[in-house]
Amino acid sequence: MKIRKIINGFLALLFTAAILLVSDLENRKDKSETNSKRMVASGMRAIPGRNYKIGLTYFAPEKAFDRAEQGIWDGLKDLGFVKDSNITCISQHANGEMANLQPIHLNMDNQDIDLIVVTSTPAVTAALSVVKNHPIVFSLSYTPLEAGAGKSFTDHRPNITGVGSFPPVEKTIDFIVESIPNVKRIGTLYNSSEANSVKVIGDGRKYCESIGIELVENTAINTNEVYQAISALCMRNVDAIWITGDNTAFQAFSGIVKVCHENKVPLVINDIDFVDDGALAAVGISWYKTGYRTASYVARVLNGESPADIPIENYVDEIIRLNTDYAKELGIQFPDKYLHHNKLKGNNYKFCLAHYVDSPNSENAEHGLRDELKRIGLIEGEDFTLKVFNAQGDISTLNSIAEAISSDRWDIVFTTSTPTIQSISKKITDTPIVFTNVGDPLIAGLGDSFDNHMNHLTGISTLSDFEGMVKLVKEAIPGIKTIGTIYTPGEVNSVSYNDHLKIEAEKYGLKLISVPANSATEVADAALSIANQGIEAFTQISDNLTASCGASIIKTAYNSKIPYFAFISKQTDQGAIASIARDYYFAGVDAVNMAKEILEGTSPANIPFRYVTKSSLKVNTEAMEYFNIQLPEKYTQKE
Amino acid sequence: MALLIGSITIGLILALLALGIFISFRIFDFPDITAEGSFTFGAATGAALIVAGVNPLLASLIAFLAGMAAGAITGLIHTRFKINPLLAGILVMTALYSVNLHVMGKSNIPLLNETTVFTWVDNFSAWISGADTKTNLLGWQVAVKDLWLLLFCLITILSFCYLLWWFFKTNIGTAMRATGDNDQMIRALGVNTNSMIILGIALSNGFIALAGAMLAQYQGFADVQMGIGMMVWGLASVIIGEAIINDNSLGFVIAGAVVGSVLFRLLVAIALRWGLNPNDLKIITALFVFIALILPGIMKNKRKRNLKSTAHA
Repeated sequence: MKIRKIINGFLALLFTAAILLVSDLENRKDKSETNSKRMVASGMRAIPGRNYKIGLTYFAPEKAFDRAEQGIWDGLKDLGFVKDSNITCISQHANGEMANLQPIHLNMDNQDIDLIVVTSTPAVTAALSVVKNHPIVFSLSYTPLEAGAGKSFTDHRPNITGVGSFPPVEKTIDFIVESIPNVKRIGTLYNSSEANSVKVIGDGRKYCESIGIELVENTAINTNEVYQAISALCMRNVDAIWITGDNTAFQAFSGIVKVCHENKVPLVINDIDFVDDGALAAVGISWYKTGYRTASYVARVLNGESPADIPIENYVDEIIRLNTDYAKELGIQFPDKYLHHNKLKGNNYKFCLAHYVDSPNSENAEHGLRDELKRIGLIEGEDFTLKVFNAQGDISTLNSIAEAISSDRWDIVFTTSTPTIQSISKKITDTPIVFTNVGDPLIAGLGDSFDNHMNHLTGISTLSDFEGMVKLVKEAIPGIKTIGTIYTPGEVNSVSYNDHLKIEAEKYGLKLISVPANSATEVADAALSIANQGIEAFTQISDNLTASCGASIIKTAYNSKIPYFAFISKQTDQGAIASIARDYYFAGVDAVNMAKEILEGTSPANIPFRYVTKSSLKVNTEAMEYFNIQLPEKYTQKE
Repeated sequence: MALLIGSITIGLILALLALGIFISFRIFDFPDITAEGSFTFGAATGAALIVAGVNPLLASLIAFLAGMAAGAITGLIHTRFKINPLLAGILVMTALYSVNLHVMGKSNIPLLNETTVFTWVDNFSAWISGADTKTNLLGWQVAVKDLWLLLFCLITILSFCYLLWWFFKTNIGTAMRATGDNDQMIRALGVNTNSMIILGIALSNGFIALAGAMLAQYQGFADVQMGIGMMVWGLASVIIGEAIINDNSLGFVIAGAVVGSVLFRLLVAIALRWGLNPNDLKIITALFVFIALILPGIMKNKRKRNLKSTAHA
């Protein structure tokens, strides 16, 4: 009879476990399906217990290569090849000189490796001429066939295969025609001895003819001729200039930008990494995804398939990057479809959002997040689903939520507040996570610096806007020399905020006097003490203790006739002149933009943590009158 | 499946909390609110020591002792100054909030990159079966290290249950149980009930603090607010366990607390897995607990009726 009771307990457990498993049934298929969706015939996975060794060559250290390399390693990892664990790699580059390409490939050929991964078109040509002992897999090449890889994608040289990426020529020309009003003539410049450019321009010429646009061509044999050639091109009355991935032209890219800017001719290119150098836009290729794609080719060859049997593929996942600042300068308005360039649409993303507690801050962030998803053109139900979890302030539920999230498949996991990201980052390591509403992510243990952080996550810090505050105070009180704040040594956030404020103050030539307070009773004394040290304004940092004693500090400030500036917006109602507080709505907006970068192919590891872009400013006109302070219009006009 | 394993693991860790609550509420009939403070106190002490480089096992042990100290204070306040148990608990719980802030030096200590007891389990798993290996369990992909983690927690909790059971069978343990049952009788036998209460509440809070320290290591951080709501969950676990394993003997009640805690986590997991409106999470959980509480009674009645009808026939 007694045993029966214990059995009852176990039965109850089994029964609930069964319900849970039945609810979880879809995951059983889902996860394996996702894997197969990503790629994967069984021959692609790493054979357990085997160690692989590959060689990797590239033209020069540059952004495009870095992205492709990241993609290759991520792709290999998903297939079970983990760098420095069961696969090692020797890599070498040619320092950007054609002449070095043959020697490095010769050297690679004599190494004890399983295959050579070759990136860039000229490197393909060089590798084909010298590599005799190893199979070759190439990537990051516009025109592998023109480089000598073979007659067609299926009929190619037996020791080579890989992924070619012919640039989206027609899309580029369409983009130019649709974005720039009244385009009749498009100018272009390339080196006629570069096989890849000749092919690309040839295709472009044909397409332009078919849509009634004139393509004005000019060539340059070496980098010295580029400047002259581009100047000549601009003289020939062109409405826009298109430069494709021509190596010669790109080595003199700054010259091209200069001439185009002087002549106010919009410049459109095919390499997204150069947009910020002064192009109007780029219609380019996601090299990360190309690299990821290449990984499956590497895997197949590593597992013994002959390159001869693997067709070459043309794989292009385009990305459009716009330089909106420059567009404004030129008075160009991009069509909506490019502004919210939606490769993101139609993917039916699965997002989830985890809150720790219901609070105005987390609710505002959620509003911002939802609004921004809508603003970038994604429709809930069609393009994405967003599942929201809320631990309702309970830490054990938070852990259960972390478990529930980790057992499902997501494209992006969003979190608000510090405990949430801490428990989720511990549990989930294979899905990108974007956090927001975290005061100081470094103190939360998420990284060593904003650039160097945990690989699978990135996010938004809602640390106060100290620089904005210092600027505000300087403009409100001309000639101000000293400011003051109370801080709480017992709260690490407070100490860190105090340090941040001090650094910013010194940057703008102000002296910060800070006095510690450990308890509510000490706050009033501390406030008096600062007031007597000759400060000209309180810039009170926001920590738990002084936030709850704000009223008493403000009272002291009024008694000593010292204006008080706050980092908490509600203190403007208590008498502060103005407050600069981080806007949590924008914390959600910014998180979405980060997620967008991840979805477009950037690894979260390469996206630094960022501060919220907007802070909300609130001013108190009565207090301004009382202290006889004038704020510049730009402050008072805002809400 | 990963959700099931994870939930059981959390359930087992929080079973320590349920055992602590069981001691104060059931053995002593002492409604001890200190729990919410001492849970965080354990987490804070453990985390602060681990960050300072102390061996995580030692840190957990010290957390246990820290919790005992907190409990002893509650017991003292109650017995010495004749303060109502609820109020004594509230006093200590409130004070512990500040103590915790001081122990941690800030409101939140991350342990994401520290070596904890669970890092050891991870390393052990990597040593036995390789890092990041997955295995197929009934068709679900499950990380091997999660299984080791579960096994580790299971063994740990079972050992603590055994220790507790053994302790309550000793003379002093029996005296403690008797204090809760009938203090006049046990006082007549010459036992100082006050010291029994102090010791009992200390032991209770030791377990609770240990649960806090373990949870902090499991989730990778300690937060000053993590104790909020814990006592209610612990109590709910104990009561669910009692309802299901309907027996008053010591071993069964202890087992009931563990079963209740795990069952409770499973119920929360189901509510989460069903993907209901997040605002409804707590009401659904409450509903589940309600069902778990009344179901055994209903089934018993039904069985009795069946027995009767067969007897008539």
